[in-house]
Amino acid sequence: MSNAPELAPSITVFKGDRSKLKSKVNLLERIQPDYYQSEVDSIYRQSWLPVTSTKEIPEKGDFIVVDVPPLKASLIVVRGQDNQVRAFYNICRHRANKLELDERGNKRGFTCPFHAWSFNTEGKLTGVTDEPQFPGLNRQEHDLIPVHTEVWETFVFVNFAKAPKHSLAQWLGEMHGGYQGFFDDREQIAHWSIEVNANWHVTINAFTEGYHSLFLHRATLPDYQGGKDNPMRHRPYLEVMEHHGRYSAKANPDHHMTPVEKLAFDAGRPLYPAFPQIDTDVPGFPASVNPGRVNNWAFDITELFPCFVLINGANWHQCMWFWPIDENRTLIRVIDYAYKGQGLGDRLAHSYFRVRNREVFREDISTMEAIHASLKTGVMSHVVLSQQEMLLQKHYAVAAEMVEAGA
Amino acid sequence: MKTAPLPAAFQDLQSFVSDWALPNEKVRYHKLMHTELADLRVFFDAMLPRAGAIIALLKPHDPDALQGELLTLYRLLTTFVETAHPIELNWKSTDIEFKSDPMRLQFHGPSAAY
Repeated sequence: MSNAPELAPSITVFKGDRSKLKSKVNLLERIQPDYYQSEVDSIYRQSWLPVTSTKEIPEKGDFIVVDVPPLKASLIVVRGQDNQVRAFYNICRHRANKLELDERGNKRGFTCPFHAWSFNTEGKLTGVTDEPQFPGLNRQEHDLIPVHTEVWETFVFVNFAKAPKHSLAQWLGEMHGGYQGFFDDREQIAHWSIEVNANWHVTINAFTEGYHSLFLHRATLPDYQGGKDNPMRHRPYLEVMEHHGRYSAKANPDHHMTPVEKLAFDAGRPLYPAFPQIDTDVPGFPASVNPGRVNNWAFDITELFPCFVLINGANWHQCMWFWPIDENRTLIRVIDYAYKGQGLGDRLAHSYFRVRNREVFREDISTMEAIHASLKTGVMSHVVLSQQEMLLQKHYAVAAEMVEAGA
Repeated sequence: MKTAPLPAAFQDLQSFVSDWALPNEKVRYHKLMHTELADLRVFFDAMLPRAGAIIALLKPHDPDALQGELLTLYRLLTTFVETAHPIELNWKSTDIEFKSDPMRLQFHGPSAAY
């Protein structure tokens, strides 16, 4: 017998265990420095965190340096000469200098600019200058410090725990086998970042419900969802999993394309905010794409707890990171991918998509600092969440559970 | 590098080249943020009836290999596509209504490249 409250009528098909979800959430306690530190230890040190894409490092020796702000870590993610993807702290094992200063590249190894100690792409210490002056030095004790690394689909995940409690497959749960190459044939078409003065919860919460789209996005997306049969833009499908949550959005069949939108999407293959007519079951769509098999499907939004949001349409996807810097600041990074362009027409479609998408993203950002500033007054501790905002309820339930469990 | 003039068939758009033949999303965004809606409308109104012909001329070419006058034309077209939304969506300005300081947004990778 479930403890979950009865659901109000809507078109939404809900899936998953709702018994631990709460519609009232205390945000005031979560913006306190001590609470934030407990989240770093209990959540960020224990979770599998996506940090980059294998598409960034396709060749042996390719590397990218990524920052993980909540852990104050700079990582070198590198494809070794053995073709395996690994992540290491970007720290020279001699005097702890930052080892690699380039953001990306292809190298056979890494040499510290300070005293030229060198390491290969598998993290082994391979060269110590003036080595006889280090009597008794055991090279094996000074390899680069690794971080647990696993690859899923095109995503590279890391885990900072000494011994992760879950494998990545366990952490992803039913999503693990759900995409089957869906992200493979894509290229990066946009990449933005912004640091905002708001707590990380507040920032990610802006992207995991569709309730606001009718209002906040009224000028940027006047008619892409909803329509006369779904005026409040209820989600047709919403699912809470063990750690994560996802929902699908329905396209508005009466969406009006503007002249330039039509121009771009006649020249190239259509992208958001125009959606191809997707019927219930598209052959070749893996199980996690339109997981509820809803008619007239537009896109899915998936929160990978704690701080990553994946938005995917039929032929594009968006990766969003909400990295806490401290309890008051968050670094948001967004990378858009779309089908690989085949000439000018597709390039125009990419251009139109990324700009519409960017302006919607900027509207979402607009609420964050205001919310955070309001919370800082201390007069309002709790927010109240509707059943259309159930992914937020799930986010806070998982966060609370991990903080209670401790590091 | 000096911007090449437009092909002869598009000389009617030459006066827009210095302001609007822009190389990447970042530069186009900054231009949009510093342009009055009325001025954007002049560019939009000039480009809309000519866009079909521009696409027809450019379509056989690889967008990453364009040079000279075709590159100028391509940049004008792409800027048009990336700045049309305030006009088409009937905005009151070239920026969104709900915003924070637009200059805080950072552009990387493809958004700074093309």
